[in-house]
Amino acid sequence: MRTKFDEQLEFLNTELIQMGALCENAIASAAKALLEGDDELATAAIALEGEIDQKEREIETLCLKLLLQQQPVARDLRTISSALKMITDMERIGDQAADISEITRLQNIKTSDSKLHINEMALATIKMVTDSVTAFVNRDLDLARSVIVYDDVVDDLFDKVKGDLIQLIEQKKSDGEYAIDLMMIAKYFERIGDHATNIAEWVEFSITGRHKEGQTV
Amino acid sequence: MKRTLFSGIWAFTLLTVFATSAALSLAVYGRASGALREATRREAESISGALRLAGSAYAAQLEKDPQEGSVCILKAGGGVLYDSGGGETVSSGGEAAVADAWKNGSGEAAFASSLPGKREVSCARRLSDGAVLLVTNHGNGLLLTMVSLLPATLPAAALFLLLAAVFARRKRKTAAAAISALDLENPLANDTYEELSPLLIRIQKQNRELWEKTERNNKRRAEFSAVTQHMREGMVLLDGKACVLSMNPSAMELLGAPEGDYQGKHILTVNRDLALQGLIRKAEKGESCQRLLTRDGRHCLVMAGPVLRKEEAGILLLLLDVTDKQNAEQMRREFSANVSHELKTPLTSISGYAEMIKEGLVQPRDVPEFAGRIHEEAGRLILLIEDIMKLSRLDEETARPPKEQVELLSLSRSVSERLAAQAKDAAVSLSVSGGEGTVWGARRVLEEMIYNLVDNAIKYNRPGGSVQVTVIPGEDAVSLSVKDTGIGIPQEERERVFERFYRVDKSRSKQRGGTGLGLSIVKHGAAFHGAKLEMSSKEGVGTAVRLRFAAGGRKI
Repeated sequence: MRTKFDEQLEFLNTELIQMGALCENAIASAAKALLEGDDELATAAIALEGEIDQKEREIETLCLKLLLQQQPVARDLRTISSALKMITDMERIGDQAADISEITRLQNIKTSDSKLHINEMALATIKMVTDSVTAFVNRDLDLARSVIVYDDVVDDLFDKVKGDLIQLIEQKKSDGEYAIDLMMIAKYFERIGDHATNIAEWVEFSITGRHKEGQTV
Repeated sequence: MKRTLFSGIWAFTLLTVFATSAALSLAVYGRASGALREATRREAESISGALRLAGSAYAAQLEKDPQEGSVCILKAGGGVLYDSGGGETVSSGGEAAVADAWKNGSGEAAFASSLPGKREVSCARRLSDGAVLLVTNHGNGLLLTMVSLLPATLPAAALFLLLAAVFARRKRKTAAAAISALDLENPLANDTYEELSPLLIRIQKQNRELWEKTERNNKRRAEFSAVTQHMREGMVLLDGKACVLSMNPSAMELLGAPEGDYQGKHILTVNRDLALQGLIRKAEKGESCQRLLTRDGRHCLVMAGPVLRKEEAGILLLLLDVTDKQNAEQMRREFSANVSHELKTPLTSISGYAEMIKEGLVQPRDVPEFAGRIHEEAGRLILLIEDIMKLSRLDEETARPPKEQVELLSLSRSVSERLAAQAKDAAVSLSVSGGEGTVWGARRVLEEMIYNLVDNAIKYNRPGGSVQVTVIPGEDAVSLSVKDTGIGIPQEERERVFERFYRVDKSRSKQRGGTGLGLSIVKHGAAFHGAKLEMSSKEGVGTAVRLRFAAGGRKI
């Protein structure tokens, strides 16, 4: 009985890694599409969203089945409940990567504007998502905590992008559509950073039993 | 173990007790029956004596408990004179004794009694009046004797059984303790009951077989891992669930996995690239396939093959680092594109001028000028093709020019003399300095290299600048440097200038001339001589190229 349960937990783990890999790919494609103006990659990122949603439903079903049939306690319960929370964040990352790609496809943004901080922000966000998934895969508490701390970097970059855009508008160097699109994308990146932070927090929870340095569950 | 031991010991104890009591009963019985016979005889004597003295009147006084026996007097003519039992007591044994007495005066007989389990002893005497006295006594039979002994034997049996149980228990414990105390690693080193030695010998034999088998397996595994550990190709073996069975260091490096033990872990924890996942999924379905993974600018060709054997399924992943190959491919493609472009440009001009002349669009007095241009372009073409041929000669491993002792300083001098006019045209001062340094090399190639270096230094210089060639002979190296005060090369281009047709000046303007192959020839020549090629440059200040050859000797 126990070995069967262990097998199912292992399966849950690999499913989560797969979903994480899909998210990484989605955000990396979306960012590359934005920075290099690659329309194909943008389409790929949008296609990945469907796949990520599908995966979320599968993992959700698996988690509920495990909860009902095995009635796990202690660490197993933590693993499953944090998995349930994590997939929600991953699914949001997928959605936002698709949203970024949709804006990219409108072609309002020219790749020659790469001097802006949005470039840096995209790379920082990719790093956060990758690190949070890696922290989950390797059960790496330190890496998870570094992701949580790194969120400030992305937040700072968001402010910088905002500053860049305000300057552009003041100097009348850009039309409104461009500035607003870029603003939206920056916000999406910022949100993705938050979701990556959440994932890292759930990783921390599943290892230590503490969420956000709060109460023990 | 416990049960068989106990029942065995108990059965044996019971048997012993039974046999002992049987023997005892037999002895008691023999003695008792002898005593009974004697007593009967005495009784008969005493009664017959009394009857002789007191006459038949005494007979009336005779009495006997029928359980013990009987007394009766039989008249000579037949009929019973007296019987203590009331006339029923004369049994067949009694009759035999009486018959003896009639004949011989006395008779005895012993036989089974009519009472259950008893025996009778009869004794007959002829009296003086001719009558016969018959005395019969009952005694216990063998079985009854035995039964009568039971009160003694039963407690004894119980006691023995108890003792046997205690003894068996003690023995069992000591034997078990001895067995569990055995050192099974070194069975023969044990000092224990000798009954155990066959077992110990067998264990020893099995131990040795086991050890040999493990040793053989270990050796085989060590060989396997020694081979895979040092493979340049990455190799990963996965089981049916895509968990790692074995993975060599190259594979870890190629997959970008941090140090750690991945044995038994899912391949996803090593690398979660979607392309790799797709490959594994295909291989799980029994399909062989391969794909190119790109990670951190490295290209890695992954081949996945299913390993199917009955129920066991696995996947073999082979990883090859094809970055260099990919880059070489890229360079070759660029080279072909460049060479065709470089060849086409002069030809287009030639063809254009020739066409104009052919169509008569050129005034006869302009023809020499056009012909001059055609000549010039054709010269460029020849120069270019010569350079390409030189390069391919250096590429060809077989057609290597012969080597000899070459003195670099004099060679540099002769080269600079050849270029003196060009330097003068460009208003660049050209000087050669240093000491004599001899290297082992191909004179023609070395000359070509120096020529190209100095030629570049003059071409990419500013008017009034200088070019300095220095030869410094050292203990084990001769270095030759060409320093200019020219336009310099930007940092990020420094590697690429040695590529064929690569030019810092993207417009490829022909005003400076050259084929774009000069530095490439230098690089190939340096590689041919095993020389080290260094370049330092500062934009707008100048460039220095230094070649370091192994000194004089025949090294290479």
